[in-house]
Amino acid sequence: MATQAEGSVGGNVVQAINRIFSEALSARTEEQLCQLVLSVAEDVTGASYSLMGEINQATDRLDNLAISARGLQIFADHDATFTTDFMPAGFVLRGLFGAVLNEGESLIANDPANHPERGGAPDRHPPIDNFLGVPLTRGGRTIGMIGLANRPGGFREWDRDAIEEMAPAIVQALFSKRAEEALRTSEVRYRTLFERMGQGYLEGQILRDVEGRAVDFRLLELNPVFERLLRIPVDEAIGRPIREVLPDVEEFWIETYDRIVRQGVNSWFEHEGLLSSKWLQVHVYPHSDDRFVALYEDVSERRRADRALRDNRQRLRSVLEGIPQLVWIAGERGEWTWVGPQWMSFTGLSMEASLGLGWLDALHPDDRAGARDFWQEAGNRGALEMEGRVWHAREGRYRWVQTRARPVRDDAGAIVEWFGTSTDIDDLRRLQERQQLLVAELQHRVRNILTIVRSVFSRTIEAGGPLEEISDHFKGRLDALARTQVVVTNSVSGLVDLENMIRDELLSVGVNEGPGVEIEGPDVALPARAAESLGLAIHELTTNAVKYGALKVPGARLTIRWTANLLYDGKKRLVLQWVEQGVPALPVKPSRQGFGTELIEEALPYRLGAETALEFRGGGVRCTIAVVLPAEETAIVGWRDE
Amino acid sequence: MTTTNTLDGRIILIVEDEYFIAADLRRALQSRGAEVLGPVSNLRDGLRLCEAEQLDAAILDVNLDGVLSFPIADRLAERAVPWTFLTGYDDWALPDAYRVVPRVAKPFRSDMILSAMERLLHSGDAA
Repeated sequence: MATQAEGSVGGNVVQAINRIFSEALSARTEEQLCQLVLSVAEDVTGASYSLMGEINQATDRLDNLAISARGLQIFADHDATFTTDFMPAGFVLRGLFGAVLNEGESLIANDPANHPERGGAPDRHPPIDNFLGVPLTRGGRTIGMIGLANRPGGFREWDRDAIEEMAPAIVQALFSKRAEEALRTSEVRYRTLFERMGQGYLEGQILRDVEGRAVDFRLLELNPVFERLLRIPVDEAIGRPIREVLPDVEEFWIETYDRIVRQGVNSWFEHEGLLSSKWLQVHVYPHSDDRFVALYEDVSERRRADRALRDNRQRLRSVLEGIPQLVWIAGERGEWTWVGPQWMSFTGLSMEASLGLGWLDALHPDDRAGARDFWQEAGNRGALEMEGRVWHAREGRYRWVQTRARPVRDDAGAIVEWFGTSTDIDDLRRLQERQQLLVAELQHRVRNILTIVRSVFSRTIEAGGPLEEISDHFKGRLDALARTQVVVTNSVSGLVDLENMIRDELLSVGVNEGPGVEIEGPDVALPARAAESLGLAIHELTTNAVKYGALKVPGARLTIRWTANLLYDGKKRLVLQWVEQGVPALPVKPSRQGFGTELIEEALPYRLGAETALEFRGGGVRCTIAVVLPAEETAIVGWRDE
Repeated sequence: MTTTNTLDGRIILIVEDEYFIAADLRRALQSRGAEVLGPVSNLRDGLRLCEAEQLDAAILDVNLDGVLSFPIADRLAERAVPWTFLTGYDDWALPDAYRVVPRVAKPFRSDMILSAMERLLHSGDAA
C-alpha cells in the first residue's frame, strides 16, 4: 500500500512538476506563476482553495504571494467587500501557519478548530474545515509556505508527501522567475541607457595581422549615438571592421585602442576627430581577447568654452601687462597679493619683495606714513586716490605717481580686495610746474619791461627839446629795447649774439661796416638782461655818433672792439670799447646829465655790476664797458625745476 | 596837506634790480621827504642793508634777476620792519607764505607806491 501510494505519488508529482516548469516559464508575473503552482497543488490534492506566502525578512511576518483562482472566488463569495486590489500581508507567525513556518515542518489539521496550535482565522475568512501546510525552504531555511484548505474528507499523508515533493520545484520556479524578471528589468534599464545616453558606446575588438600588429578593429556593438557622432547607420556598421565602414578612419583610433588594450588599463583621452570635426572625450575600458569598450562624449562645446575662457584670460593678461600703468591687487589692509610686471621693472623690486607691505619700501620715506594711514581707513572710503613718489630704478630717483584703487566686492557688498593702478605723472607734473614757471616769468618780464618803458619815457621827456626830437628819441629807445626782446624771445637759449646786436643797431640808422666803421671781437653770447642793457647803451652811443660824432662827420672813424676772457670759475669778463676818432669839433657835453650818460654811468653798473667809463674828448667819444657774464645762462635763471 | 612831506625823515630801503625802476622809486620817495637806503639790486646787498639800525620800511622787488628776495622779507619780519613787495607776479605765482603781504603790482605809478608806503608806516604808528 505504502509502495503503491509512493509510486502513485511519484507519477502524479512528476507530472505536476513538469507542468510547473513548463507553464511557469510562460507566466508573465510572479503572482501568475504562484497561482499556477497553487492550481497544480489543488489539482493534485483535491483541496478547495489554497494560498502561498513568503516570510518578509524585514518584518518577520508572512506576506501573501498569491491566492489561488478558486480561493479568490471563495473569498469573494464569502465576503462581498473582498477585493483583489492588494494582497493581504503582514500576518503574525502564529496559529497553524505559525506552526508550519516556525517548525519548518508540514502540518495536517483535519479538525482545525480543535487543533492545539489553532489561532483562529482572520475576520471574514471563509471557513476552514481542514488544512494542509507545507513549508517552502531554500538553502535550509524556511522562506514561506503553501497552505491548502478544505479537501473533502480531509487531507491525507499522501497529499502532504506530494506537496512536499513539489515544494523544491516550486521554490526553484519562483526564484527562476524572479531572476528572470530581475534580468529583464536590468536589461531594459541598460538597453534604455545604452540607447538614450548622450555618450556614444562602442564595443570593439582589435584585428591583427599575422605579425600581431593592430590593423583594424571590429565593431561589436554601437549605440545609436554613433549615427550622430560618426554619421554612419549603426545597424549596418555592427559586426564589420571599422576600415570597411569608414575607409578614411584616422590611424589614431586604431593605434590608441591597440595601445590601451595592450596596456590593459582603463584610460581616457580627448581627441579632435578629423571626420566629425568634434572634440571627443573617450573613456576606454579594455577587457580580455583584444576587446574593449569605449565611451565617447562630444566635448566640443566645453572645449570651445574653455578656449574662449583661455583667450579671454590671455587677452585680459595682455591688457594688464601692456598698459603703462603699474597694476596691483591688495587686500583690505593694503597688503598686496598680486602685482603686474610694470611695477617690478619700474621700481626694481621683485614680486616677493613687493607683496604684502613690501611695496612701501619703494615709496619716498615722506610718503610712507601717508600711504599707511590711508589704508587704515580705506574700507570707509570705498575708493583710493593719492599722489606720492615712487622710486624709479632706472633713473635712480623718485618719480611722482598717481594711484587709484577700486574695491572689488562680493555679492553681499563686502570688500574682498582692491584693484589698483599707479600712473606715472612725473613728466606731467614737471611740465605743469615748468609751464607755471614760464607764465610767471613771462608776466615778470612783460611787466618789468613796461615799467622800464615808462621810466625811459619820463626821462626822455625830462631831457626837454622840441616835441619832434623827444618823439624820435623815445621811438629809437623803444625800438632798441624791442630789438633785443625779439632776439631774446626768438632764440631757444634766450641768448643774444653781441656782434649781431651791434650790427643790427648800426643798421637801424643805416650804417654798415666799412672803411670808417670797424667791428671786431670774438663770439659772445649775452644773457637776456645783459643784452637789454648793453643794447640800450649801444643805441645811445650810436644815436650820439649819428647826431654829433663819427657817424656824422665825413672821414671820422668808429671802432667797436671787444675781448672776452674766461675767468677761473667759468664766468667771462667782457670788455667792450667804443672809440670814435677824427671828430674835429669838441662834442657838446650836455649840461644836464642825459639819458645815455645815466644809462652808461649809472644803470649798467647798477644792473650788471659793470665798470664803465665815458669820455667826451677831442677826436670823439670814448666808452669802455667791462662786465662779468655768468658762466651759463638760460632763459630762466635761478629757478630750478625741483 | 598830503602832497608834501608825508614821509619826512623816514628811512626806506629799496631793493630792486632794474636801475630805472629803482631810480624812479628813489626820486618819488625823496620827493616826500623820505631818506632812501640803497637802492640795491641784489640779495646780498639787500640782506646787508636790512640790518641797518635805522630802518622804517622797505620796498622789495620779488625777483632780483632770478633770485627771490624772500630772505630779506623774512629778516624784515623778524625785525618788525614793514615792507611791501613790488612785483610783476600774480598771486598764484608766489609761495603761499608771501601772498598776504601788501604788494604793489608792476607796472606802477609813483603815487601808488607812495600811498602804499604811507599806509604801511601809518599802520606801523598805530601799532
